[in-house]
Amino acid sequence: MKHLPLLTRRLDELIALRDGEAVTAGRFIAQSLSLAGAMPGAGAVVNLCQDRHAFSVALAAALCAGRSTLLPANRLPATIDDLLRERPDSLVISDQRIEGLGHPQMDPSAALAVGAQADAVPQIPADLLAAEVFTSGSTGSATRVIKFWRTLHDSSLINAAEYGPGPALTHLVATVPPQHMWGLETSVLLPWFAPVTINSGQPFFAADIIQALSALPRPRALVSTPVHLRNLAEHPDSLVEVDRIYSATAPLSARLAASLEDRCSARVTEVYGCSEAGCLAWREPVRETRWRLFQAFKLDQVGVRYRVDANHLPEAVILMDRLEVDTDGRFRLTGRDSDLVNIAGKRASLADLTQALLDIDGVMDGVIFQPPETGDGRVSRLAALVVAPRLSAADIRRALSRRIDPAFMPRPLRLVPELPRAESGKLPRHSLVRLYERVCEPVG
Amino acid sequence: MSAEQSPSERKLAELIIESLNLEDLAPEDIEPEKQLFGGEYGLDSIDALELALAISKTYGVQLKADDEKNRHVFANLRALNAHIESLR
Repeated sequence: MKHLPLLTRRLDELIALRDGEAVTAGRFIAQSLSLAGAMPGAGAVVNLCQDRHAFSVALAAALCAGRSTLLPANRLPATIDDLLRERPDSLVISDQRIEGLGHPQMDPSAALAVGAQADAVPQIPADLLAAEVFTSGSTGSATRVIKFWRTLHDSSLINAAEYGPGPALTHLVATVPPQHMWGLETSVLLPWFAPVTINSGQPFFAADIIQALSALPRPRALVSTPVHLRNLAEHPDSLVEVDRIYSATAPLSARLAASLEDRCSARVTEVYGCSEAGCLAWREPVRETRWRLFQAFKLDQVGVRYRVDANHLPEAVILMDRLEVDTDGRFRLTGRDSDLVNIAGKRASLADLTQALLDIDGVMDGVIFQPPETGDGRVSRLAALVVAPRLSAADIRRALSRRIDPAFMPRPLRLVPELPRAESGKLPRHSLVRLYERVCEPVG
Repeated sequence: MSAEQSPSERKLAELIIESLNLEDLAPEDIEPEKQLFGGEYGLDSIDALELALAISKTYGVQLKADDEKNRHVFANLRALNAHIESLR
Protein backbone atom coordinates (compact mmCIF):
# COMPACT_ATOMS: atom_id res chain seq x y z
CA MET A 1 0.00 0.00 0.00
CA LYS A 2 1.35 3.41 -0.99
CA HIS A 3 1.87 5.98 1.76
CA LEU A 4 2.29 9.76 1.53
CA PRO A 5 3.65 12.04 4.28
CA LEU A 6 1.32 14.08 6.50
CA LEU A 7 3.44 17.12 5.72
CA THR A 8 6.62 18.11 3.91
CA ARG A 9 7.78 20.93 6.21
CA ARG A 10 10.98 20.57 8.22
CA LEU A 11 10.13 19.64 11.81
CA ASP A 12 11.65 22.84 13.22
CA GLU A 13 9.74 25.12 10.84
CA LEU A 14 6.92 27.33 12.04
CA ILE A 15 3.56 25.94 10.93
CA ALA A 16 1.15 28.02 13.01
CA LEU A 17 0.81 30.99 15.31
CA ARG A 18 -1.86 30.27 17.87
CA ASP A 19 -2.82 33.38 19.82
CA GLY A 20 0.72 34.59 19.20
CA GLU A 21 2.33 31.32 20.34
CA ALA A 22 4.66 29.71 17.76
CA VAL A 23 3.97 26.07 16.86
CA THR A 24 6.61 24.13 14.89
CA ALA A 25 5.76 21.28 12.51
CA GLY A 26 7.27 18.82 15.02
CA ARG A 27 5.09 20.09 17.84
CA PHE A 28 2.04 20.10 15.55
CA ILE A 29 2.66 16.39 14.84
CA ALA A 30 3.09 15.61 18.56
CA GLN A 31 -0.21 17.38 19.30
CA SER A 32 -1.96 15.51 16.47
CA LEU A 33 -0.66 12.11 17.63
CA SER A 34 -1.72 12.91 21.19
CA LEU A 35 -5.26 13.73 20.04
CA ALA A 36 -5.33 10.67 17.74
CA GLY A 37 -4.50 8.46 20.75
CA ALA A 38 -7.22 10.02 22.89
CA MET A 39 -10.10 9.81 20.39
CA PRO A 40 -12.71 7.26 21.45
CA GLY A 41 -14.49 4.96 18.99
CA ALA A 42 -13.56 4.21 15.41
CA GLY A 43 -16.07 6.17 13.27
CA ALA A 44 -15.58 9.35 11.31
CA VAL A 45 -14.66 12.65 12.96
CA VAL A 46 -16.91 15.71 12.65
CA ASN A 47 -14.38 18.53 12.93
CA LEU A 48 -16.15 21.70 14.09
CA CYS A 49 -13.12 23.49 15.55
CA GLN A 50 -13.19 27.24 14.92
CA ASP A 51 -9.62 27.99 15.90
CA ARG A 52 -7.68 27.20 12.71
CA HIS A 53 -4.79 25.50 14.50
CA ALA A 54 -7.21 23.36 16.56
CA PHE A 55 -8.98 22.42 13.32
CA SER A 56 -5.66 21.54 11.68
CA VAL A 57 -4.60 19.33 14.63
CA ALA A 58 -7.98 17.55 14.67
CA LEU A 59 -7.76 16.90 10.92
CA ALA A 60 -4.20 15.55 11.22
CA ALA A 61 -5.24 13.42 14.24
CA ALA A 62 -8.05 11.84 12.22
CA LEU A 63 -5.63 11.09 9.36
CA CYS A 64 -3.09 9.54 11.77
CA ALA A 65 -5.87 7.39 13.26
CA GLY A 66 -7.07 6.33 9.79
CA ARG A 67 -10.46 8.03 10.29
CA SER A 68 -12.35 10.14 7.82
CA THR A 69 -13.20 13.76 8.65
CA LEU A 70 -16.74 14.98 7.96
CA LEU A 71 -17.02 18.67 7.10
CA PRO A 72 -20.63 19.89 7.36
CA ALA A 73 -21.75 22.89 5.28
CA ASN A 74 -22.23 25.00 8.42
CA ARG A 75 -22.14 24.76 12.21
CA LEU A 76 -25.89 25.04 12.78
CA PRO A 77 -27.04 22.40 15.30
CA ALA A 78 -29.79 21.25 12.88
CA THR A 79 -27.24 20.59 10.11
CA ILE A 80 -24.95 18.67 12.44
CA ASP A 81 -27.82 16.69 13.98
CA ASP A 82 -28.88 15.61 10.46
CA LEU A 83 -25.34 14.49 9.71
CA LEU A 84 -25.07 12.58 13.00
CA ARG A 85 -28.40 10.85 12.39
CA GLU A 86 -26.87 9.37 9.23
CA ARG A 87 -23.48 8.69 10.84
CA PRO A 88 -24.29 7.96 14.49
CA ASP A 89 -20.86 6.45 15.28
CA SER A 90 -19.09 9.73 14.45
CA LEU A 91 -17.00 11.63 16.97
CA VAL A 92 -17.65 15.38 17.27
CA ILE A 93 -14.53 17.44 18.01
CA SER A 94 -15.11 21.10 18.80
CA ASP A 95 -13.03 23.69 20.62
CA GLN A 96 -16.14 25.67 21.55
CA ARG A 97 -19.13 23.87 22.98
CA ILE A 98 -22.05 23.88 20.56
CA GLU A 99 -25.31 24.38 22.44
CA GLY A 100 -28.30 22.26 21.56
CA LEU A 101 -26.37 19.40 19.99
CA GLY A 102 -27.69 15.98 21.04
CA HIS A 103 -24.30 14.23 20.80
CA PRO A 104 -21.17 14.15 22.99
CA GLN A 105 -18.45 16.63 21.99
CA MET A 106 -14.72 16.09 22.45
CA ASP A 107 -12.65 19.11 23.48
CA PRO A 108 -9.15 19.02 21.87
CA SER A 109 -7.53 21.39 24.38
CA ALA A 110 -5.45 18.76 26.25
CA ALA A 111 -3.72 17.77 22.99
CA LEU A 112 -3.22 21.42 22.06
CA ALA A 113 -1.28 21.92 25.29
CA VAL A 114 1.32 19.31 24.30
CA GLY A 115 4.71 21.01 24.03
CA ALA A 116 6.85 18.05 22.95
CA GLN A 117 8.33 17.77 19.46
CA ALA A 118 7.78 14.70 17.28
CA ASP A 119 10.91 13.42 15.54
CA ALA A 120 9.25 11.78 12.53
CA VAL A 121 6.52 12.64 10.04
CA PRO A 122 3.54 10.23 10.05
CA GLN A 123 2.94 8.40 6.78
CA ILE A 124 -0.70 8.26 5.68
CA PRO A 125 -2.10 5.62 3.28
CA ALA A 126 -2.60 7.32 -0.10
CA ASP A 127 -6.02 5.72 -0.58
CA LEU A 128 -7.33 6.59 2.91
CA LEU A 129 -10.74 8.29 2.75
CA ALA A 130 -9.49 11.53 4.30
CA ALA A 131 -12.42 13.92 4.15
CA GLU A 132 -16.07 14.08 3.22
CA VAL A 133 -17.07 17.63 2.36
CA PHE A 134 -20.76 18.46 2.49
CA THR A 135 -21.69 21.41 0.31
CA SER A 136 -24.72 23.40 1.31
CA GLY A 137 -27.92 22.49 -0.45
CA SER A 138 -30.57 25.18 -0.71
CA THR A 139 -33.09 23.55 1.54
CA GLY A 140 -31.04 21.19 3.63
CA SER A 141 -30.20 18.39 1.20
CA ALA A 142 -26.40 18.54 1.19
CA THR A 143 -24.24 16.83 -1.41
CA ARG A 144 -21.18 14.86 -0.33
CA VAL A 145 -17.78 15.17 -2.00
CA ILE A 146 -15.12 12.64 -0.99
CA LYS A 147 -11.39 13.34 -0.77
CA PHE A 148 -8.77 10.62 -0.56
CA TRP A 149 -5.49 11.51 1.14
CA ARG A 150 -3.71 11.28 -2.23
CA THR A 151 -5.99 14.00 -3.60
CA LEU A 152 -5.47 16.38 -0.66
CA HIS A 153 -1.72 15.72 -0.57
CA ASP A 154 -1.16 16.22 -4.31
CA SER A 155 -3.51 19.18 -4.67
CA SER A 156 -1.68 20.96 -1.84
CA LEU A 157 1.65 20.57 -3.64
CA ILE A 158 0.01 21.75 -6.88
CA ASN A 159 -1.55 24.78 -5.12
CA ALA A 160 1.80 25.70 -3.56
CA ALA A 161 3.50 25.56 -6.97
CA GLU A 162 0.75 27.36 -8.89
CA TYR A 163 -0.14 30.24 -6.59
CA GLY A 164 1.71 29.75 -3.30
CA PRO A 165 3.43 32.80 -1.85
CA GLY A 166 6.93 31.58 -2.79
CA PRO A 167 10.07 30.46 -0.96
CA ALA A 168 10.13 33.08 1.83
CA LEU A 169 8.26 32.05 4.99
CA THR A 170 4.91 33.84 4.71
CA HIS A 171 2.46 34.59 7.51
CA LEU A 172 -1.09 33.89 6.39
CA VAL A 173 -4.37 35.27 7.73
CA ALA A 174 -7.69 33.84 6.50
CA THR A 175 -11.25 35.12 6.79
CA VAL A 176 -12.80 31.91 5.47
CA PRO A 177 -13.79 28.97 7.67
CA PRO A 178 -11.43 25.95 7.64
CA GLN A 179 -14.40 23.63 6.96
CA HIS A 180 -15.05 25.19 3.54
CA MET A 181 -12.94 23.81 0.63
CA TRP A 182 -11.29 27.18 -0.14
CA GLY A 183 -10.38 27.64 3.51
CA LEU A 184 -9.30 24.00 3.87
CA GLU A 185 -6.96 24.06 0.87
CA THR A 186 -5.34 27.38 1.71
CA SER A 187 -5.44 27.97 5.44
CA VAL A 188 -5.11 24.37 6.65
CA LEU A 189 -3.32 22.28 4.03
CA LEU A 190 -1.00 24.88 2.43
CA PRO A 191 0.94 25.31 5.72
CA TRP A 192 1.54 21.53 5.77
CA PHE A 193 3.27 21.62 2.38
CA ALA A 194 4.56 25.15 1.72
CA PRO A 195 6.56 27.70 3.73
CA VAL A 196 3.45 29.24 5.22
CA THR A 197 2.66 29.97 8.87
CA ILE A 198 -1.05 30.19 9.53
CA ASN A 199 -2.55 32.60 12.02
CA SER A 200 -5.10 30.63 14.04
CA GLY A 201 -7.83 33.28 14.12
CA GLN A 202 -10.65 34.06 11.72
CA PRO A 203 -10.95 37.86 11.54
CA PHE A 204 -14.30 39.06 10.28
CA PHE A 205 -14.71 42.84 10.12
CA ALA A 206 -12.22 45.05 8.28
CA ALA A 207 -10.86 46.36 11.61
CA ASP A 208 -10.23 42.76 12.75
CA ILE A 209 -8.42 41.87 9.51
CA ILE A 210 -6.20 44.96 9.72
CA GLN A 211 -5.38 44.23 13.36
CA ALA A 212 -4.53 40.57 12.66
CA LEU A 213 -2.28 41.41 9.69
CA SER A 214 -0.54 44.32 11.42
CA ALA A 215 0.61 42.00 14.21
CA LEU A 216 2.53 39.76 11.77
CA PRO A 217 5.98 40.15 10.20
CA ARG A 218 6.28 40.40 6.41
CA PRO A 219 5.90 38.80 3.99
CA ARG A 220 2.26 38.33 4.91
CA ALA A 221 -0.76 37.17 2.94
CA LEU A 222 -4.52 37.27 3.23
CA VAL A 223 -6.92 34.53 2.06
CA SER A 224 -10.43 35.84 1.67
CA THR A 225 -13.53 36.35 -0.48
CA PRO A 226 -14.79 39.32 -2.53
CA VAL A 227 -17.29 40.19 0.20
CA HIS A 228 -14.66 40.59 2.92
CA LEU A 229 -12.25 42.24 0.50
CA ARG A 230 -14.74 44.84 -0.70
CA ASN A 231 -15.36 45.66 2.92
CA LEU A 232 -11.64 46.01 3.50
CA ALA A 233 -11.08 48.13 0.37
CA GLU A 234 -13.82 50.58 1.38
CA HIS A 235 -12.64 50.87 4.96
CA PRO A 236 -12.18 54.58 5.67
CA ASP A 237 -9.05 54.25 7.82
CA SER A 238 -5.62 53.54 6.42
CA LEU A 239 -4.99 49.91 5.53
CA VAL A 240 -2.11 47.58 6.16
CA GLU A 241 0.60 46.52 3.70
CA VAL A 242 0.03 42.94 2.51
CA ASP A 243 2.28 41.06 0.11
CA ARG A 244 -0.27 38.68 -1.36
CA ILE A 245 -4.07 38.69 -1.31
CA TYR A 246 -6.00 35.63 -2.47
CA SER A 247 -9.68 35.63 -3.33
CA ALA A 248 -12.09 32.86 -4.32
CA THR A 249 -15.75 31.72 -4.04
CA ALA A 250 -17.22 34.54 -6.22
CA PRO A 251 -16.00 36.80 -9.03
CA LEU A 252 -13.60 39.56 -7.97
CA SER A 253 -13.90 42.68 -10.12
CA ALA A 254 -10.79 44.22 -11.66
CA ARG A 255 -11.74 47.50 -10.02
CA LEU A 256 -11.84 46.00 -6.52
CA ALA A 257 -8.59 44.10 -7.13
CA ALA A 258 -6.92 47.31 -8.33
CA SER A 259 -8.10 49.21 -5.29
CA LEU A 260 -6.63 46.51 -3.02
CA GLU A 261 -3.34 46.46 -4.92
CA ASP A 262 -3.20 50.21 -4.53
CA ARG A 263 -4.23 50.51 -0.88
CA CYS A 264 -2.40 47.43 0.47
CA SER A 265 0.58 47.34 -1.95
CA ALA A 266 -0.48 43.74 -2.53
CA ARG A 267 -0.40 41.42 -5.50
CA VAL A 268 -3.98 40.16 -5.84
CA THR A 269 -4.54 36.64 -7.14
CA GLU A 270 -7.95 35.17 -7.78
CA VAL A 271 -8.35 31.40 -7.65
CA TYR A 272 -11.07 29.37 -9.35
CA GLY A 273 -12.22 25.97 -8.25
CA CYS A 274 -15.10 23.88 -6.97
CA SER A 275 -15.58 21.49 -4.06
CA GLU A 276 -15.32 18.46 -6.36
CA ALA A 277 -12.01 19.34 -8.06
CA GLY A 278 -10.46 21.82 -5.62
CA CYS A 279 -8.54 24.85 -6.88
CA LEU A 280 -7.85 24.52 -10.61
CA ALA A 281 -7.08 27.91 -12.18
CA TRP A 282 -5.85 31.39 -11.28
CA ARG A 283 -5.64 34.89 -12.68
CA GLU A 284 -4.60 38.36 -11.59
CA PRO A 285 -7.75 40.40 -12.24
CA VAL A 286 -5.88 43.71 -12.48
CA ARG A 287 -3.80 42.46 -15.40
CA GLU A 288 -5.86 39.76 -17.13
CA THR A 289 -9.45 38.65 -17.63
CA ARG A 290 -8.62 35.11 -18.67
CA TRP A 291 -7.93 32.23 -16.32
CA ARG A 292 -4.81 30.06 -16.38
CA LEU A 293 -5.57 26.39 -15.84
CA PHE A 294 -3.18 24.67 -13.42
CA GLN A 295 -0.65 22.54 -15.33
CA ALA A 296 -1.77 19.35 -13.59
CA PHE A 297 -5.30 19.70 -15.00
CA LYS A 298 -6.75 19.13 -18.42
CA LEU A 299 -9.96 20.52 -19.79
CA ASP A 300 -12.33 18.76 -22.24
CA GLN A 301 -15.52 19.96 -23.79
CA VAL A 302 -18.53 17.68 -23.27
CA GLY A 303 -21.50 19.10 -25.15
CA VAL A 304 -22.02 22.62 -23.82
CA ARG A 305 -20.16 21.89 -20.59
CA TYR A 306 -16.53 21.44 -19.69
CA ARG A 307 -14.94 18.62 -17.76
CA VAL A 308 -11.69 18.83 -15.79
CA ASP A 309 -9.50 15.91 -14.93
CA ALA A 310 -6.16 15.44 -13.18
CA ASN A 311 -4.14 12.45 -12.00
CA HIS A 312 -4.84 13.16 -8.34
CA LEU A 313 -8.64 13.26 -8.75
CA PRO A 314 -10.61 10.02 -8.35
CA GLU A 315 -12.72 10.95 -11.38
CA ALA A 316 -13.25 13.73 -13.91
CA VAL A 317 -15.48 16.61 -12.76
CA ILE A 318 -18.08 18.39 -14.90
CA LEU A 319 -17.91 22.12 -14.16
CA MET A 320 -21.15 23.96 -13.35
CA ASP A 321 -19.86 27.20 -14.83
CA ARG A 322 -19.98 27.94 -18.53
CA LEU A 323 -16.53 28.44 -20.04
CA GLU A 324 -15.17 30.06 -23.19
CA VAL A 325 -11.82 28.41 -23.89
CA ASP A 326 -9.27 29.96 -26.24
CA THR A 327 -6.86 27.96 -28.39
CA ASP A 328 -4.02 28.74 -25.96
CA GLY A 329 -6.00 26.99 -23.21
CA ARG A 330 -6.84 30.10 -21.19
CA PHE A 331 -10.50 30.63 -20.48
CA ARG A 332 -13.23 33.05 -19.44
CA LEU A 333 -16.13 32.24 -17.14
CA THR A 334 -19.38 33.26 -18.80
CA GLY A 335 -22.03 32.26 -16.26
CA ARG A 336 -23.61 29.34 -14.54
CA ASP A 337 -26.25 26.84 -15.40
CA SER A 338 -29.38 28.80 -14.73
CA ASP A 339 -30.84 26.67 -11.94
CA LEU A 340 -27.73 26.76 -9.79
CA VAL A 341 -26.73 29.89 -7.92
CA ASN A 342 -23.79 30.62 -5.66
CA ILE A 343 -24.31 33.32 -3.05
CA ALA A 344 -21.45 34.07 -0.69
CA GLY A 345 -19.89 30.67 -1.34
CA LYS A 346 -23.11 28.74 -0.73
CA ARG A 347 -24.76 26.81 -3.53
CA ALA A 348 -28.45 26.53 -4.13
CA SER A 349 -30.90 25.31 -6.71
CA LEU A 350 -33.46 27.94 -7.70
CA ALA A 351 -35.97 25.14 -8.29
CA ASP A 352 -35.53 23.94 -4.68
CA LEU A 353 -35.85 27.47 -3.32
CA THR A 354 -38.95 28.16 -5.40
CA GLN A 355 -40.45 24.91 -4.13
CA ALA A 356 -39.86 26.06 -0.55
CA LEU A 357 -41.73 29.27 -1.41
CA LEU A 358 -44.63 27.40 -3.01
CA ASP A 359 -44.87 25.10 0.05
CA ILE A 360 -45.96 28.06 2.19
CA ASP A 361 -49.64 27.96 3.02
CA GLY A 362 -51.38 30.81 1.18
CA VAL A 363 -48.84 31.16 -1.64
CA MET A 364 -50.73 30.61 -4.92
CA ASP A 365 -47.81 31.06 -7.28
CA GLY A 366 -44.31 32.40 -7.04
CA VAL A 367 -40.75 32.26 -8.23
CA ILE A 368 -37.31 32.87 -6.76
CA PHE A 369 -34.75 33.91 -9.35
CA GLN A 370 -31.51 35.78 -9.90
CA PRO A 371 -32.13 39.30 -11.17
CA PRO A 372 -29.81 40.76 -13.82
CA GLU A 373 -26.35 41.56 -12.39
CA THR A 374 -25.76 45.16 -11.32
CA GLY A 375 -21.97 44.67 -11.45
CA ASP A 376 -21.16 46.94 -8.50
CA GLY A 377 -19.28 44.25 -6.59
CA ARG A 378 -21.92 43.70 -3.93
CA VAL A 379 -23.25 40.25 -3.16
CA SER A 380 -26.16 39.93 -5.56
CA ARG A 381 -29.14 38.61 -3.68
CA LEU A 382 -32.00 36.63 -5.14
CA ALA A 383 -35.41 38.16 -5.84
CA ALA A 384 -38.91 36.74 -5.45
CA LEU A 385 -42.21 37.57 -7.07
CA VAL A 386 -45.11 36.02 -5.22
CA VAL A 387 -48.85 35.69 -5.77
CA ALA A 388 -50.43 35.40 -2.31
CA PRO A 389 -53.56 37.55 -1.90
CA ARG A 390 -54.05 36.68 1.79
CA LEU A 391 -50.43 37.19 2.92
CA SER A 392 -48.11 40.13 3.47
CA ALA A 393 -44.46 40.22 2.38
CA ALA A 394 -43.50 39.97 6.07
CA ASP A 395 -45.61 36.79 6.49
CA ILE A 396 -43.84 35.20 3.56
CA ARG A 397 -40.39 36.29 4.76
CA ARG A 398 -41.10 34.83 8.19
CA ALA A 399 -42.24 31.50 6.71
CA LEU A 400 -39.28 31.36 4.31
CA SER A 401 -36.74 32.13 7.01
CA ARG A 402 -37.69 28.83 8.67
CA ARG A 403 -37.09 26.90 5.46
CA ILE A 404 -34.03 28.36 3.74
CA ASP A 405 -30.56 29.65 4.57
CA PRO A 406 -30.51 33.45 5.14
CA ALA A 407 -27.99 33.84 2.26
CA PHE A 408 -30.76 32.83 -0.14
CA MET A 409 -33.53 34.96 1.34
CA PRO A 410 -34.93 36.84 -1.63
CA ARG A 411 -34.79 40.58 -1.44
CA PRO A 412 -36.64 42.23 -2.81
CA LEU A 413 -39.65 40.00 -2.27
CA ARG A 414 -42.65 41.52 -4.02
CA LEU A 415 -46.32 40.58 -4.09
CA VAL A 416 -47.79 40.66 -7.59
CA PRO A 417 -51.33 39.87 -8.85
CA GLU A 418 -50.02 37.21 -11.20
CA LEU A 419 -46.85 35.89 -12.84
CA PRO A 420 -46.34 36.36 -16.60
CA ARG A 421 -46.65 32.67 -17.40
CA ALA A 422 -46.81 31.54 -21.02
CA GLU A 423 -49.69 29.33 -22.15
CA SER A 424 -47.47 26.31 -21.57
CA GLY A 425 -47.22 27.34 -17.92
CA LYS A 426 -43.55 28.19 -18.35
CA LEU A 427 -42.17 31.43 -17.07
CA PRO A 428 -40.01 33.01 -19.80
CA ARG A 429 -36.96 34.74 -18.35
CA HIS A 430 -37.47 37.94 -20.37
CA SER A 431 -41.09 38.35 -19.16
CA LEU A 432 -39.98 37.72 -15.61
CA VAL A 433 -37.20 40.31 -15.81
CA ARG A 434 -39.60 42.84 -17.37
CA LEU A 435 -42.11 42.39 -14.51
CA TYR A 436 -39.29 42.51 -11.96
CA GLU A 437 -37.99 45.79 -13.38
CA ARG A 438 -41.49 47.24 -13.31
CA VAL A 439 -42.23 46.36 -9.67
CA CYS A 440 -38.73 46.84 -8.23
CA GLU A 441 -37.08 50.19 -8.64
CA PRO A 442 -33.42 49.92 -9.56
CA VAL A 443 -31.24 49.79 -6.46
CA GLY A 444 -28.84 52.63 -5.66
CA MET B 1 -38.17 48.75 27.81
CA SER B 2 -40.13 50.43 25.08
CA ALA B 3 -41.02 48.86 21.76
CA GLU B 4 -40.84 52.36 20.25
CA GLN B 5 -37.68 53.43 18.48
CA SER B 6 -35.74 56.30 20.03
CA PRO B 7 -34.60 59.03 17.59
CA SER B 8 -31.08 57.57 17.39
CA GLU B 9 -32.45 54.04 16.92
CA ARG B 10 -34.62 55.38 14.11
CA LYS B 11 -31.55 56.87 12.44
CA LEU B 12 -29.70 53.55 12.72
CA ALA B 13 -32.74 51.69 11.36
CA GLU B 14 -32.70 54.02 8.35
CA LEU B 15 -29.01 53.26 7.82
CA ILE B 16 -29.70 49.49 8.05
CA ILE B 17 -32.49 49.69 5.45
CA GLU B 18 -30.43 51.86 3.13
CA SER B 19 -27.09 50.06 3.40
CA LEU B 20 -28.59 46.57 3.08
CA ASN B 21 -31.09 47.46 0.34
CA LEU B 22 -33.96 46.16 2.45
CA GLU B 23 -36.41 47.83 0.18
CA ASP B 24 -39.47 45.94 1.35
CA LEU B 25 -38.93 47.01 4.95
CA ALA B 26 -39.55 50.49 6.35
CA PRO B 27 -37.35 51.86 9.17
CA GLU B 28 -40.26 51.67 11.61
CA ASP B 29 -40.66 47.94 10.82
CA ILE B 30 -37.43 47.15 12.68
CA GLU B 31 -38.52 46.49 16.23
CA PRO B 32 -35.85 47.64 18.71
CA GLU B 33 -35.69 44.39 20.66
CA LYS B 34 -36.36 41.87 17.93
CA GLN B 35 -33.50 39.63 16.73
CA LEU B 36 -31.72 41.47 13.93
CA PHE B 37 -29.58 38.73 12.37
CA GLY B 38 -30.63 35.17 11.55
CA GLY B 39 -34.30 35.88 12.24
CA GLU B 40 -37.22 36.92 10.12
CA TYR B 41 -35.52 40.03 8.75
CA GLY B 42 -33.46 37.55 6.77
CA LEU B 43 -30.12 39.16 7.63
CA ASP B 44 -26.95 37.07 7.64
CA SER B 45 -23.25 37.51 8.33
CA ILE B 46 -22.67 39.16 4.94
CA ASP B 47 -25.14 41.84 6.00
CA ALA B 48 -23.22 42.25 9.25
CA LEU B 49 -20.13 43.08 7.18
CA GLU B 50 -22.02 45.56 5.00
CA LEU B 51 -23.55 47.16 8.04
CA ALA B 52 -20.21 47.45 9.85
CA LEU B 53 -18.82 49.29 6.83
CA ALA B 54 -21.80 51.66 6.69
CA ILE B 55 -21.51 52.29 10.43
CA SER B 56 -17.79 53.05 10.15
CA LYS B 57 -18.49 55.56 7.37
CA THR B 58 -21.47 57.21 9.06
CA TYR B 59 -20.46 57.20 12.72
CA GLY B 60 -16.66 56.86 12.45
CA VAL B 61 -16.87 53.82 14.74
CA GLN B 62 -15.08 50.49 14.11
CA LEU B 63 -16.97 47.33 14.98
CA LYS B 64 -14.87 44.32 15.89
CA ALA B 65 -15.81 40.67 16.12
CA ASP B 66 -13.16 39.88 18.70
CA ASP B 67 -15.16 41.92 21.16
CA GLU B 68 -16.60 39.51 23.73
CA LYS B 69 -19.82 41.44 23.74
CA ASN B 70 -20.11 40.97 19.98
CA ARG B 71 -22.98 38.53 20.03
CA HIS B 72 -24.88 40.77 22.37
CA VAL B 73 -23.98 43.90 20.39
CA PHE B 74 -25.58 42.58 17.22
CA ALA B 75 -28.56 41.01 18.97
CA ASN B 76 -31.03 43.75 18.08
CA LEU B 77 -31.37 47.36 17.00
CA ARG B 78 -31.31 48.66 20.58
CA ALA B 79 -28.14 46.81 21.59
CA LEU B 80 -26.33 47.80 18.40
CA ASN B 81 -27.34 51.43 18.82
CA ALA B 82 -26.21 51.46 22.45
CA HIS B 83 -22.86 49.95 21.44
CA ILE B 84 -22.30 52.59 18.75
CA GLU B 85 -23.21 55.36 21.21
CA SER B 86 -20.72 53.94 23.72
CA LEU B 87 -17.90 54.02 21.16
CA ARG B 88 -18.51 57.56 19.92
